Parts: sequence; C-alpha cells; structure tokens
Amino acid sequence: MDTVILKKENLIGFLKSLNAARLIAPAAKKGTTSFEVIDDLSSVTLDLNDYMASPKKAVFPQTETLFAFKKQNGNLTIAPADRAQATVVFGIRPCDARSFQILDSLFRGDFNDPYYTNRREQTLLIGLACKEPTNRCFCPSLGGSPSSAEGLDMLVTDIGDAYCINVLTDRARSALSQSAPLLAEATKEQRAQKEQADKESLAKIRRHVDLQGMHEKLPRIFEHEIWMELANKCLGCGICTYYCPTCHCFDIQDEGDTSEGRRIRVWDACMFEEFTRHASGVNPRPSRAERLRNRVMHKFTYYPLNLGTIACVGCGRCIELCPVNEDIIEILEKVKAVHE
Amino acid sequence: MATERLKEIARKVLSRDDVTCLIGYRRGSYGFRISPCFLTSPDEAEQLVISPLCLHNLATYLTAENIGPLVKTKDEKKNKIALMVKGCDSKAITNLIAEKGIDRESIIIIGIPCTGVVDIKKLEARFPGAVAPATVEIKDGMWVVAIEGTTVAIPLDELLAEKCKRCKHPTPLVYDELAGDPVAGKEDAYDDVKGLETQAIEERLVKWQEELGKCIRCYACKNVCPLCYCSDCALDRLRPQLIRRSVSVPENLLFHVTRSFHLAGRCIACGECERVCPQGLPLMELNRKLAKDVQEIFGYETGLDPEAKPILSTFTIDDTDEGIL
Repeated sequence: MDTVILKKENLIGFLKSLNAARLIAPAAKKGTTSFEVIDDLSSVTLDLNDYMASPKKAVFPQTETLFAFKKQNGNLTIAPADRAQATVVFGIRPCDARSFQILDSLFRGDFNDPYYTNRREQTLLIGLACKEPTNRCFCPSLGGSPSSAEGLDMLVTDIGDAYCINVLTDRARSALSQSAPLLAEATKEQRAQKEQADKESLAKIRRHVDLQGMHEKLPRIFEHEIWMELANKCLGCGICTYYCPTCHCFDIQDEGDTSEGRRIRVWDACMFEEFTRHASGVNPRPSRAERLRNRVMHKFTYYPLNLGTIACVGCGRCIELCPVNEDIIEILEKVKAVHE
Repeated sequence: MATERLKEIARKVLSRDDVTCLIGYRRGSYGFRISPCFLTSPDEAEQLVISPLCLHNLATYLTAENIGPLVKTKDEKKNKIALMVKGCDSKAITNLIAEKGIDRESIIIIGIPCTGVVDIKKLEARFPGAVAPATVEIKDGMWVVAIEGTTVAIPLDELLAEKCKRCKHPTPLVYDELAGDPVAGKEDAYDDVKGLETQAIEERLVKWQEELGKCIRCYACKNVCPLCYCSDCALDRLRPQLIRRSVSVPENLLFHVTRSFHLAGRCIACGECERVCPQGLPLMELNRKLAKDVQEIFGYETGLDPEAKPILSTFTIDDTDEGIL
C-alpha cells in the first residue's frame, strides 16, 4: 500500500487520524500564509500552495532555550531544554523537504546537535507537490522538482478530485496505522493522473540557472571587483537569510541576570555587520561586499566542498522578498560571465 | 518623454569630472521588478528608467556604509554622488541636510516629479507569474499594465500605493535638475491614523502585540530607512544590551517603539519600511501618528526645509512638557 488515494473531503479526518501531538501546516494569518502550529484543523489551507516563511523553524526555531538557570539560597539549579514533541509537518513543499536534508548534513554530521536532532527525530514530513510553481521557483536547477519526494516521509499530490499519497518510509507506514479507513489503493488511472500532474507542474518552472563549474569558479574570483558591484544595492538586512530554508547560522546568548536566566540560541544572519565583528572591534568582513560574497560562497562553494551538497534548493524566497531585487539567479549568472 | 530627458541629464552629470557615480533605477531581473543601479560612465545612462515601479527611496544609499562607488575617494575634486529622487525621497535628503547627515555640496539631485507609484504587492497579486519584463505606466488617468503580450488598463485607485494617496509633495523639494514637469500635491488630513487614535488603549495594546509579534527581526525596516543611519546603532550593542536577541513580543515591541520614537520628527513618510517588511507589519501607522503629533505639538513638518533646525534637537521655552519620557 505505497500509493494511496485520499478523498479531498476527508482531509481533516486524515490529519486527525495521524494523532500528532503537534501539527504544523500552512495556515492563513492576517493576509499571509505561513507555517503555523495548528490548533484548529479547519485553518489549514492547501489551496495557496505558496507561503513565504520556511518551515525550518519546526526543527530549528528562531529562538530556543538551551537551558534555564536559577540561583536560590546559594543553590544553582539548571533546567534542561524541553524535549521535542512528536510533530507532523504537513504540506511542506518538496524544495523545503530537501532543505531539511541539507540542514541534517550539518546538524547531524561531524557533530550531532542534540537540540536539532531531538526535534528532527520527532518530526514526520508530509510534502505537498507544487501544483502552481511561482515565477521565483528554480528548483530543477538545484536537482529538485515540484514533485520531488526526497527527504519526505509522504508526498501528497493534488490530482483534481482527490489527493494521491506516496507512502515513502516505514515511519510513514506506522503513522498511518489509524488512517486506513480513509485511504484506498490508487488505481492505475489515478497513478497516471499523478504522473501527469507532475509533468504539468515541472513545465511551469520558468527560471533556470546552470551551475556547472560554479563551486570551482567562485574561489577563483574571490578578489574580483564584481562583489563590490553586486553588493552596492544590498541593504544588509536579514530577509534572504531568515527566509532561506537552508540558512542556519545562529548566535548563543545568556539572557537574564546573575540569579535567574536562560541560555538561548537565536538565528543570526551573515548579512549583518555585527555577525563577524570581533570583540576587539575588528571585522574581517567589513563591508557588504565581503558579506554578500560569503553568503553566495557558503551556499555554492563551502557547503558543497565540506558537506557534499549545495546549500540552496531553488525556492526563490530570497528573490521575491529582497527589497532591492538582489536576485540570486542574476548574481550566479554574473559570476559565470566574469572573464578570468 | 521624461525618460529621454532623464537620460540626457544623466549623461551630462556623468560626464562631469567631479561625479563618482549616479544612483538610479534600471529594469530588474524579472517581471515588474526594478532595481537600484550605480552608474559611473555616460554610456550607462541608457539603462535608466522612470516608471511607477521605481519604488525605492535611493536616498538611503547616501548614508549606507561606504563601499564601491560610494567610497570617498582621496581625490577631493571627484567627490559628488548624483541620485534620482521622487518627491517623498527628496524630503529624506532635505532632512539629512538639516541634520548635517550629508553635505548638500556632495550630492547632485536629479528630481523626478512623481505621479505616484504602484503598490507592488497588489500588482503582483493581480498579475502573478511574470518572468519576462513587464511594465506599468500612466496613460489617460489609468494604469496601463503590459505583461507578457497583453495590456490592461486599471483605475488608479486600485493599485496606487497608500502613501501616494495623500502625497503633498510629489515634486522634489530640493533638486539640481528636474526631469519632467512639476506635479501638484494632494491634501493630507492624516486620515490613516484616525483608526489608531480612536482605538481604546487596551485594544491598541492587543493589536500591536499581535502585529509586532509577527516581526522576525530581519531589520529590513531599519536598513532601508534613509534616516536610520547611526554608525553605532543601539540595537547592535551587546554591552549594555538594550534589546535582547530573543525574538518575542516584548523585545519586538521595544525594538519597534524605540525605532519609531527615534524617527519622530524625522520620518518623511516614504513608506519604505512598510514596503520592505516581509511580514506585512503596518509600520507607517506608528510613524505617521508620531509625525502628526510633532506637527500638532510643535507646528513642524519634516523634510520641507534644508535650513530647518531638527525639531527634537532644539527647544524653545514655550515647548510643552507633555510626553517627556
């Protein structure tokens, strides 16, 4: 039972049958759609098939407590971080699911980050194949597709009158133990409908960039003036990094006073001036040019060299949200055009 | 055509020996997007555009970190930066001059009389998916949107940016060259802040906790703001840490309230903070309310006169002491 069919009217019943302690799904909220912890199942919206905030916060929240401390009558007590709840992320886009694998290669690579791993192990990923890729999408250039199943436990595809669900992992099979009455084996015709839907959505992707030779070229033009030209308009804000599903840099701070407080981990952004500022006041990346170069090289050179994969999935959020049209595809094209 | 006149001015300006670069607008990388550009030679003037899609307030680059063409050269004779400004943008320059944030002599202002810019979010929601260059212009009192082979006329009200609906100064207040005929301004009765003013204080708190709770602290509002240019921003300080790094409603509230107070009597209502906010925070409501208060209490309107004394840097013995923090 690896390809099954769910009637559209049974979606809420299906979500209930998963018995997740915590369900995260796209929900409409004040004019935007974003990944939210769902209390009311009827607020889940799959129609939009587009949302800006990436769901990486499910495994890597913007602010998290590593531990809390308290000193009372000379005794110091340390409270560890909360254990993660069993979580289902429903409706994640295939590009975002691939980003979880990219994050895994860092947080569960040489060093196993216990906070991330704890959440990750408790998280089941149910993807939704993109029916309407947007004008910022370029996932095929990064080896993905609007119907990629990579990194997912299940993939849901809208085939018109029903959802076709590919059950991809053993975890998914056990999560579906209560869902059987709502599901039916997909017919040959329905499988063909899914294949057709995949083809149609892939054909809607209109932006592409050829990354052949990119990670080798970038270090060779490290000192090139192009970085100054590209960075001129950059505002140095954190939009591109905070919305990026693969960006993962963080800061660790103690908040509180000497008697009570907590140690937190909080997202940080390499585009901020303060990110690399040393205690001495020296900043090895003194201008936006070095910072922009670092961001591009981290994704397209350092990450591939160190961890074997490009740290970009082609979701295009940075392209759409950048206030000054700093477009990663345009940047990569300009890098390619540099004569060495 | 205004664009031809602009290009002519740009070529002339870029031919001058004392000009390092010209900051203007060019076609962006896709669809309706326009990009800021930094030109250094007269041949590049050809790529400049003027259109209702030129949203950015380029004055922000005058106080951005000094990099690229904006590096102050050792050659004192080649030290001027030219830039394109709309009416609202020019008020940022006026205020920067008044605050002595920039030197009037160091810039060449190419004024663009502005007939209004579009609300890009509304535009892109209505015409999604454009990859090939798409354009918007005003013809016979309508927007004319040209996208991938089709042309659609739309009433002005439907796509006009909020700030333009009450723009008193669409023609730049300060300029060296003007690329077009002056445009008449509209009335501004601060209708947009009436909702905030009439709301009960408890409701206001609930509303703003909810709104600011959405903030993810990307600081795009701070960085895009032409008047946010302290070299040592309190927000970046670690010791003392005035605002914690944790993203929560109280810290977000502290950030935005501090920022809007710091802009009281300085914000020129270009609306860039609200335009760039990826979380859709209604930041201009705070800024506009403070602008209205400053106007009512001190009779001061920001950005009109480069010789003005910045209102919150001066005092008179008649000043009210209400609201002293």
